Amino acid sequence: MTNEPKQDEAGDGKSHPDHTHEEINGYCATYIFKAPRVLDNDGVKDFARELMKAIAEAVMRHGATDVGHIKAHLEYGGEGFLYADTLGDVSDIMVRGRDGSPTDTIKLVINTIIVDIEAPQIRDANEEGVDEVCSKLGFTKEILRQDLYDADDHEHLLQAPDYDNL
Amino acid sequence: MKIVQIAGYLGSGKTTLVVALGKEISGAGFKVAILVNEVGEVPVDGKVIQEFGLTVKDIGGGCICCQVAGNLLHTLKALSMGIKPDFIIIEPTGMAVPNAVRDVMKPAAGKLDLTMGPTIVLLDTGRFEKLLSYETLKRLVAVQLKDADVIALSKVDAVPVEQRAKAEAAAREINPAARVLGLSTFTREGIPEIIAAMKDMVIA
Repeated sequence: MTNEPKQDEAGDGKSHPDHTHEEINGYCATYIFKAPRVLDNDGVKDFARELMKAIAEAVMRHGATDVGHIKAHLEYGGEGFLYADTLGDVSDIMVRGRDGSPTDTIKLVINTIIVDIEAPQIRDANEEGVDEVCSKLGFTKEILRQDLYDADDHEHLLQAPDYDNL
Repeated sequence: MKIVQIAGYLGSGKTTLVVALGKEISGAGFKVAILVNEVGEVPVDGKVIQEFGLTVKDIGGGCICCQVAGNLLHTLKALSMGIKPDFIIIEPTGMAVPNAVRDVMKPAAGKLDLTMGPTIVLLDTGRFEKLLSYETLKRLVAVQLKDADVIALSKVDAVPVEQRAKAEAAAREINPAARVLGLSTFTREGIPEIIAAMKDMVIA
């Protein structure tokens, strides 16, 4: 085990971080969900909780060693705001925030960071969990944005001119 | 502008601590900016912190220790030319190597009038044994702890005292030089000590 920086493959003469997190990948997405009926705050919280649980279970089915974390924020009913997260166990699921008005529309942003499976698999597992909950509760989903995060991608290492230009 | 890094593995409680520190320090009259690094392009943690009325700058799209380090420099420059906070609290991703983040900032310290404060690394007392048992994770978790000036044993209110003692022993074995303290954002244990470290400690 070492904490010494290593010379980067770029060969620019600068030391760069030791890449200790190459087995951790991620998937981030933004959605609009439509519920089959108007939901109160408890209904939105139940939906968030179900989603966290289903995604955590799906990534473990896909071979993850550990759920790094799954975090989401939900905006609904005017000022309504929820923050939901889990580290993998059902008992770990936390949902808290500020109440909004009854609504059937929820905007949700999710970051799913998982150990030991590739980013496309995390995407597939995440969507599997989302679809499972939508099907169970009668929601529809619209994906506004999807990003994959691959920890092996180190294309943006700093060079001396980055500091010269400050 | 003094920079304090709140690091630690995913789920260790960084965001909760950052909110608690931000509220207390700004409540004491200091100008605080919180810089949150997330893997996703669309922030989750930054949005949550903003909900508490704190000044947040998001750096998304990868890890600041190796992938979007340039964005960190640009954000620090913008802060130095703008609100010039007394404290900049940096919350890197849970995968970040704290010394690598520090290495990105060091060459810019003189130009941007930055003082390097402590790196505070959180260790989840409820999960540390599990994390250190995974071949793929133990190296990262240990490297994060080795880079700490202060190790905060997080969520101590949720574990038995024996578990807390085991976590403390593991932390001290990995980094004997670091200060080790218990942390609970529910009971406030450790918060005054961390604030004191933020104010007093300067790292060369």
